Amino acid sequence: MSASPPLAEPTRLDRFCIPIAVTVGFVVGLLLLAWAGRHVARTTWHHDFVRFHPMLAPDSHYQPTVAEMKAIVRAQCRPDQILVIIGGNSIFLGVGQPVERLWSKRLQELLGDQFAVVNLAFRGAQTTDGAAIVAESLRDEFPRQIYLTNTAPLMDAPPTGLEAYRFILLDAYYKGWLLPWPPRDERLKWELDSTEQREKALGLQIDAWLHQRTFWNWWSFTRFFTFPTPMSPDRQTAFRGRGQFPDREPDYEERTTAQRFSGPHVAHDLEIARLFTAASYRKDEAGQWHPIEVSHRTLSDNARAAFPDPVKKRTVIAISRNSPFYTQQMPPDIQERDEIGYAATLQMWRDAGYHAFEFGRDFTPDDYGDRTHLTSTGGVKLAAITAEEVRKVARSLGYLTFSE
Amino acid sequence: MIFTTYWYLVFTPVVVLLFWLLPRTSWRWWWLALGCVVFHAKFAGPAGMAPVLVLMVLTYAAGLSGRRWACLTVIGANVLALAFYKYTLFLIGTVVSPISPALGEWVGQGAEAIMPGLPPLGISFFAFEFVHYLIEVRRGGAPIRHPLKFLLFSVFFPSLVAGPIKRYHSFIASLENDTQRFQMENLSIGLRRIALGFAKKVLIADNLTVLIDHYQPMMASATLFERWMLVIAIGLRILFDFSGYTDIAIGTARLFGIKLPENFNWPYLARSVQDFWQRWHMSLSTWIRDYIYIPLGGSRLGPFRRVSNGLIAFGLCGLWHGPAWNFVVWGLYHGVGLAVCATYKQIPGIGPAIARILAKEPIVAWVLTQLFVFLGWIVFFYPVPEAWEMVKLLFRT
Repeated sequence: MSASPPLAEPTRLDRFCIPIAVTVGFVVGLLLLAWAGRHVARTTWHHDFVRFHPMLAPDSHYQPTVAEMKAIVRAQCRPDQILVIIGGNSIFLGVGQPVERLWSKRLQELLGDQFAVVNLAFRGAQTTDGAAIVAESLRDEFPRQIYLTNTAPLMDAPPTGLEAYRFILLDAYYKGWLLPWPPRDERLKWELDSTEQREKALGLQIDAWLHQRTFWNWWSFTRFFTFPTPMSPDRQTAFRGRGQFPDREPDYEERTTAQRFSGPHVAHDLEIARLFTAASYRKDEAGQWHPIEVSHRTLSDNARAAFPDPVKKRTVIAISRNSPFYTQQMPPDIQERDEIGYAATLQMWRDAGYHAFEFGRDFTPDDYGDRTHLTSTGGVKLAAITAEEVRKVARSLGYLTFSE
Repeated sequence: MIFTTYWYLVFTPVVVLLFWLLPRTSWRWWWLALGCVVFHAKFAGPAGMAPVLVLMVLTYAAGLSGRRWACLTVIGANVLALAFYKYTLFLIGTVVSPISPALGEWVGQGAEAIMPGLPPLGISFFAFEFVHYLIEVRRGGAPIRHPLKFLLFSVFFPSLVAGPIKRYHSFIASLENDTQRFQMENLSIGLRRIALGFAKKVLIADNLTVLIDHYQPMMASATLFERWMLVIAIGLRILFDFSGYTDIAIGTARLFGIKLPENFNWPYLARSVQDFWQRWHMSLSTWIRDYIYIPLGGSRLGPFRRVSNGLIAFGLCGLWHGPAWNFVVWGLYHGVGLAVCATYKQIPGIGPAIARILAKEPIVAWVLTQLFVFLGWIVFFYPVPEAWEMVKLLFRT
């Protein structure tokens, strides 16, 4: 018989440790961590929170939990205020606008102390992602709330959102914070029908008991991040606490309008703008645009299924337009198709029970940093339009009297 | 990485808890076997389980029969299965295609059509454990008669994915003796070992991976110090990754009371290449020693055979890690290192002098050994031409 490699025998440390004490310590440690995860989310650690800039977002492997975002909201909104939660994508996140000139800050100024505006938008997020989940989770705690989000014309809005932000939906889902909503539940079953997705879901199911993700977010925000981020792998910042990472969103206004709209990306963006509504319309021989039924029906059905019925009426959908630098270069028939598309999108959301409006119609190229994102100047205009819409909704929901 | 899944974190406590709640040892074994099959099915799927099941039945039957022809045939079947699933495309690409590209393409397409997308999970470990079993039975060891015990030896889930490579006599002895009654000590040791493994894997190795992936493409523009730091990071990453995984395997087995072989013993403290291989992936190195190097003649047939046997054994050891030339080169590199280690003292004049210096200054021996080992990791992880460029960068500013 050949000599086997040595078996794993007790080490000196093993002999030193009292088995029952180690085992009990292991269990107690796990329970303490679970308690800590619950405890730290009672107050926010995001002091002076403004938005989820890339170093506080999944872009850099930081995944805010719903408990953490709820704590942010609680810290920013008094019970007597009307809560305005901003969701949506990079346009509402304020990409291209420095913190001090961020459009949502301007919105807060315009709405005044009666409202509390909290910007929880993420890059690339859809209407039903992230902030929508937080708003729904806080429906009882902040019954006077408005969820404000943006989207593009004829953009699909599945009730489960994007895969990249599914962790937020599942976080709230497994903690029992969401309303029962059959379209979402059914789609979720379908979405989770893969080994990879089931594994992620299982992690969040475990988290519903252990709250480890909230604990580690607190730890990595206030102490040090245990993983280096692909966005800052330099030695100085790789492992520092996320709370020390500055908001370094670029300022589009550091470059002139002419500079912003020149370069190789312009041709590409022009093509995107040209095809903006192409998939949903066909032209007949007489040159008239007609909606493609299947496409419109799907979008309409998804709009109805996007949010649970009880929250629809306080959900505000803002439809964004492309920069006029691009739209003005379109031939008249494309411009006509886009106009039909905007009108149809607004109608579709309104028919589904939401409040919808559009912005950007009278904006100038100076208001845009690129094809879709706004400069601070554009942000001021957006804030003005949005403040008016928010007040309208607040009145219709009875949060404000019609004289306010 | 199967151990770092949530599924594992749920599955293992459930199997362990019920295992110890069952009042009879035989029931525990049945329950553990069921758990192992579920684990195997979950991660290998039916297509991955089928070849392993066939090899398992053949190996069990051959071992029971004890006949020389049966054992040799099934050993051959195991080796062929390993070669087929793991090396067919590599062999076609490196042997057939250079002779006739058209034939290589035709054979390659045919092979791809009949082969699964990935080799069956753990096929390298299954094949090595089955070959070990049959050789030991032929050498006079008692075969495993109980099919349940053989099933457990074959698909014991903690060691199924990445070892350690088990020896059947010690595994069966541990199964029979250590699963009779629950011992708090085993639970305590197992939990600590698992925690240590997770810390090594998740906190250290995974972070190093992110840094290595970021800095490696920029190696040419890095300073000399940063290049060497990168190589050290590569060496530390594989140690913490693999030994962390092994710790989880050993710790998980220990939750059932079962002791698996150790795989690592502070390998980066080794002061010679021989010493390194007595500390690194010990379950593989002893397997190579027992079933390739010694049967080839080992060191008994003179210096030439000793060197050539070492090169063959380590060339195969390298190839075992994966179907690529860089693994073969890495294995041969270590084969050469071992040959130099074993023979340099015989060089007249200079040999004994070097040996005296290394004996007197162990730190020199340690530095030279680790330099050799860490440079070897470059070719282990990167294609040979790229690895050669990286090595050259380490010696010029």
